[in-house]
Amino acid sequence: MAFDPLYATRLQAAWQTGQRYAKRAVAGSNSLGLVVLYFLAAFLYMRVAESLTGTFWTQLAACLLTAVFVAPSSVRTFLRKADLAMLAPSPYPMKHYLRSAFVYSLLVQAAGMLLLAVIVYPVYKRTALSPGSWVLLAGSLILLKMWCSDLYWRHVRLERDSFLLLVAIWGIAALFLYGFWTSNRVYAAAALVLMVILTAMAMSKAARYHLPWLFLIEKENKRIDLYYTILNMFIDVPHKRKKVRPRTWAIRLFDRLTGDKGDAYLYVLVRHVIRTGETFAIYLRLAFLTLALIAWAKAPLLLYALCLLGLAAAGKQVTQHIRTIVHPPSIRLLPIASEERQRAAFRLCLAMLGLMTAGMTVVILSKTAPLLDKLALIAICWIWTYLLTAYFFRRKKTAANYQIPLKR
Amino acid sequence: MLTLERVTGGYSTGKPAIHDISFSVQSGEIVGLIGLNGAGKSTILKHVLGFLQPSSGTIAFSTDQPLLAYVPEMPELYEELTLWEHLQFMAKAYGLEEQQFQERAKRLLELFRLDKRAHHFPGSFSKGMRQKVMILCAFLVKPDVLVVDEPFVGLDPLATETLLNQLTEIKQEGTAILLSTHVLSLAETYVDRFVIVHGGNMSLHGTLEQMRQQAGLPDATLEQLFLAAVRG
Repeated sequence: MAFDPLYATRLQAAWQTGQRYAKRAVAGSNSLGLVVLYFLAAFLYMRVAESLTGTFWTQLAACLLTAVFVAPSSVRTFLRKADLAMLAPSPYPMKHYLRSAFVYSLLVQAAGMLLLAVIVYPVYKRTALSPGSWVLLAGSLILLKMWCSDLYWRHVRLERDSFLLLVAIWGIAALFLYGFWTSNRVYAAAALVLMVILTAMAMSKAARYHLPWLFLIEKENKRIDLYYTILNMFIDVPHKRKKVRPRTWAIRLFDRLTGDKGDAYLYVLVRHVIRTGETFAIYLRLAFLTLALIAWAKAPLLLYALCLLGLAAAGKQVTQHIRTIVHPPSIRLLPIASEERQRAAFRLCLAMLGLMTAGMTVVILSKTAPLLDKLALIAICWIWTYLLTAYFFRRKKTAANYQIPLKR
Repeated sequence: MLTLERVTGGYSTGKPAIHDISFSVQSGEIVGLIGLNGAGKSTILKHVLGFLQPSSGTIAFSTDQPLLAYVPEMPELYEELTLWEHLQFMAKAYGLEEQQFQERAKRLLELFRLDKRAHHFPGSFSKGMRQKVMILCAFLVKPDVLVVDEPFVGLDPLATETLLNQLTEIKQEGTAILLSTHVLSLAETYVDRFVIVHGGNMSLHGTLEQMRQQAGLPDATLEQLFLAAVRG
């Protein structure tokens, strides 16, 4: 089936944007934590799966949890606010457009079910009464998802996207899965009957001629907002409206640590880095994690690596934020020289890394090791802090100049 | 204070948006830039501010380092700075004494009825309030040259009156003001000289009387002169 041309164009643009952001997110220092978290979660999950046996409760829990991932469905419509004025009154064949949206979403969700089958299979094998093959599990999940998506789409077009419906779909999906898990045809058949009834009820109310434009556009906007929120955990997303957090205590602290009260650019930079984006939150998490790991680590080599890497990761995060700040154009009129900007960025980065190093100093001193070794590590950390800051904010010949030419 | 001589420029060198623009703004004077949408008013302002480079012609200031302030049409604020912090930032950037800053800032906040919102972030401000913040920042530093782009859009009548009073006040103190506006009735009362821009060219310029002579319409109002200029 060929996709609607307009839908295909929007889909392609969305994928290109997604790929671009994904590359940036992977390059960000937060992705390292995600990799560690993934391996940790995979290890723990496999240990739990191996310890399970096929009791009533484990089977029920497995089915209910699997259904949590099967029941929620969505359809990417890529509808935009402007469509309300441009497409809604036009004779554009929206039926074909929306069919494309549904088919595409179904394919994506089916791929998701294959992944879910990979994850669930170890538990299924350990807890099912007479476990079938992975293909059978994946097929069942995909079929269930198709039904969930179809029912969801019918209801959305009738503007009946209720939580109660989701609970009903979840319950029926869990019932079907329980029948599948326990090879009990009665449960599976009961679920199938309920599925047919719900579908028939939705079909009895034909989708309106007029699309629920506002409803669909709102859903699409919420989805995009969600994507950017997730992405914002890894990188600063310019499209995402930045939430400003007052963080008065941090402003006071860094105003003192950075020193010069007359420096206008430093004043705005401190507030920008601390109040907007995720940088400051990431910095705090990274600092606490590093301190905890240092407190736990015993091997000298590991201690050195943790200290140096922790500082480098924090420094990179702060530097990235400072480099991507977009100022209002009127800042070019202010008498702020490029050297002043460079100096302000240096001071702030040094203050942030310095505070982290001060925390490290306390933790290192509290450890049981020869005093000379501890002092050596502390000295290296402080030197590293300065070197890192100097490296991150080394002067580049191409640096932007805010001096406006006054006479030509 | 500010002189433009035969300035031609725009966003791309091949397609200039403004052609041969020449006028000056003296200290203690308001010059009004008037024109239709897309006539080139904002482009002229951007050249004056140094945001765009002219392909030919010169823009000169009478002093080496004049203090420039700009109130854009669309208010651009730092979302992470409170209103008070915006003023403090400007004071630091322009090297204002603390006492001078406190006095001016408090007076301006009261005048524009923003004193109760001084410690709020701009995220909760209406368009008019955001515009007021930009105006406050510009007035705080008492610049040598003030460039104002459509300042009355979004302002309530009280704020418009306060703005006009403040413009008159800093004009009397010697600031050169270049003002772009569509509100011709206000311009006629408060502006000393005009530059009517049409299609990137200067159609008429000078005082109201001089423009009447240029257009051959001895009793015309500013609006009539403007309409005559743009209709050819």
